[in-house]
Amino acid sequence: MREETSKKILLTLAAIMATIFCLGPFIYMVLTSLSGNPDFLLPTKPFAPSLTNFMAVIFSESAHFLAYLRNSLIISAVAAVATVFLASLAAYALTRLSLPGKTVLLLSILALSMFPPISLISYLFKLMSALGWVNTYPGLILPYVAWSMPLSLWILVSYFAQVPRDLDRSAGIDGASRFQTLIKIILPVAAPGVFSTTLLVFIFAFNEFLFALMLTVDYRSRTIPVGIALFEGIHGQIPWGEIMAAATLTTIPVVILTLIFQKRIVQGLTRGAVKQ
Amino acid sequence: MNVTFRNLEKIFYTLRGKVEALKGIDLEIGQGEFFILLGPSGCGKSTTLNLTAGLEHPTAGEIRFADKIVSSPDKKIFLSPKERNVAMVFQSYALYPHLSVFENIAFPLRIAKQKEIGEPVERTAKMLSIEDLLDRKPAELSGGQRQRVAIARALVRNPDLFLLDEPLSNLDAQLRTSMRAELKRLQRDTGITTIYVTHDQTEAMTLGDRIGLFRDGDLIQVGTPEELYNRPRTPFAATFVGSPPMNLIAAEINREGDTTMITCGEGRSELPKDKAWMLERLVGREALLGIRPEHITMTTTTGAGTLKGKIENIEPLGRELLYHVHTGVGTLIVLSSEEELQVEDTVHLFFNPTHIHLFQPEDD
Repeated sequence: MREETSKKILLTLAAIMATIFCLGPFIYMVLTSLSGNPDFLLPTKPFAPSLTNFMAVIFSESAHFLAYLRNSLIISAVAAVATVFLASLAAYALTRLSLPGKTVLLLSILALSMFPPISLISYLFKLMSALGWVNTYPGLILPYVAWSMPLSLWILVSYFAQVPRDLDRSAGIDGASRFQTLIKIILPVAAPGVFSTTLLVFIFAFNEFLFALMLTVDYRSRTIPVGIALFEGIHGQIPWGEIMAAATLTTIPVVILTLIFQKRIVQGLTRGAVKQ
Repeated sequence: MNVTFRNLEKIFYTLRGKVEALKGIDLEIGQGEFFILLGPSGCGKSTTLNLTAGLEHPTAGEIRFADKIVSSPDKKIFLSPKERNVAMVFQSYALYPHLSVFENIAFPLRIAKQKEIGEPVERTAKMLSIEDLLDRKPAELSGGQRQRVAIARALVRNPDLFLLDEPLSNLDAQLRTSMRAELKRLQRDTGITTIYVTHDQTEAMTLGDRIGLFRDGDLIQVGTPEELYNRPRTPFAATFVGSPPMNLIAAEINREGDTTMITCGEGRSELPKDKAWMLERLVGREALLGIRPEHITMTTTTGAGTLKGKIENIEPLGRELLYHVHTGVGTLIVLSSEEELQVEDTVHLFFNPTHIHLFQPEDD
């Protein structure tokens, strides 16, 4: 009994430490954004909460914050949906059709994601210049889709493989085509996997920095991470308060999305499909 | 609709090599018939069902629905399940977990873009007494209810052919008996030609108009349940159908003038004339004698042609008892209502000659 209790206490402590470790920078970010100066931890400068930084970020025309946010949301959403759609088709084929060399194919797809992005960036820039896609939405969406495809495919393959084959066969007998089976049966049954993959790709695209830095020029296609990094300070100073306010605002869409999808991700939807 | 299989073959190529799942099946199933594919696991019965449904391509041969060829690799014909208008119930039920019972049953109708959905779904649900469950999800149903939903989904669009793959094997014994009776009634009422796969010989005997017995990809025997029980063609058919299984004993057959004698161990008896057809090829050779446990008479007194044995074990079955009797030719199973006997008692067994079956040992 005593051992149980001490184990519980230790685990709780570990959990609290982990939470502080993860949330510490986040809390610092939020506090900085709410205060006028980044040195509020010093006793000489008291913490005086205000929304000045947020107002400055949102309403300053030169900061283009809302334009960056819009770009980020559109690019990330399109990239996430497109990736998951394409990865679903591929995962269906890899789990349902008898293809020779399936494992080799999956492994080589995984190997592709081992390339460091920096090694690709100059060629990617050349390609996008040739296509005239630098500083456009497709110019970022396309690399994001390609880059997140291996991981998405691996997640979806493992989820699709868990959907009982009898459901496919049953749908086939009920008259459904392969595409109908994928859309009406497999995707809804593998919904937790589909939602988590969509969310992962969205977050990746939303946070991605390198491609966005190289392939965008101005507020017409620039995304939030690059936008924040390139915030111009007035009088040569780094505007910490505004940067942190922008960063805080940026996390909001991701947090909302995660909260919305959390339930769907956790839900075990295959329950009751077939007799286990 | 009648179904014809002509020299149907299926070979699977796996990493471990070639597996002949079906070795050339010829079979005709009549309009409105309740036909059972019976056999142990891996005998080819499920493969036959999948080939009929169009879930798999045959390696060779032909399947016809009425006069229409639905599968023929030679003629390069293969109709998809959709084009065959068959319905199938799976052992796992295969209900769509994200859809309500109503939507599960409605699924084939929606795929077929049928305008009238509510009426047929409700009519079928009523037929299976699940009309109160229409709003539930499969996860909220018991095994028996899930099975009913699966059957309703199969019946809702009036299929030409109804295929069932071990549909009762996941239910408990009591439910299985009642579902069995219900399936039989449904099939009689709808008159849909039905092919039913099972490894359970009791199910086969009680449900089937006819049974096809499979073993290792071959069709061993086709006939009514009575035919399979009373006139098994091979030792395998003899032991697979009937519970407890038939006793098989090595025996010898000899002509003595006009009469034919069968000897096994010290037991000897004259064979009735009507068994003569079995004999020509067996005279003077080793044969296998088959006798069902209920056709052995057990006495404590010796008599002409009896076989002596000692009781090894007694299993009470309720109305009757199952005796394991050790004899000079092996342990035999005897079904008897005799209650006075004890383990270790010496008994004398007499085989009722009219119920003796004779097989060639190589006719496995």
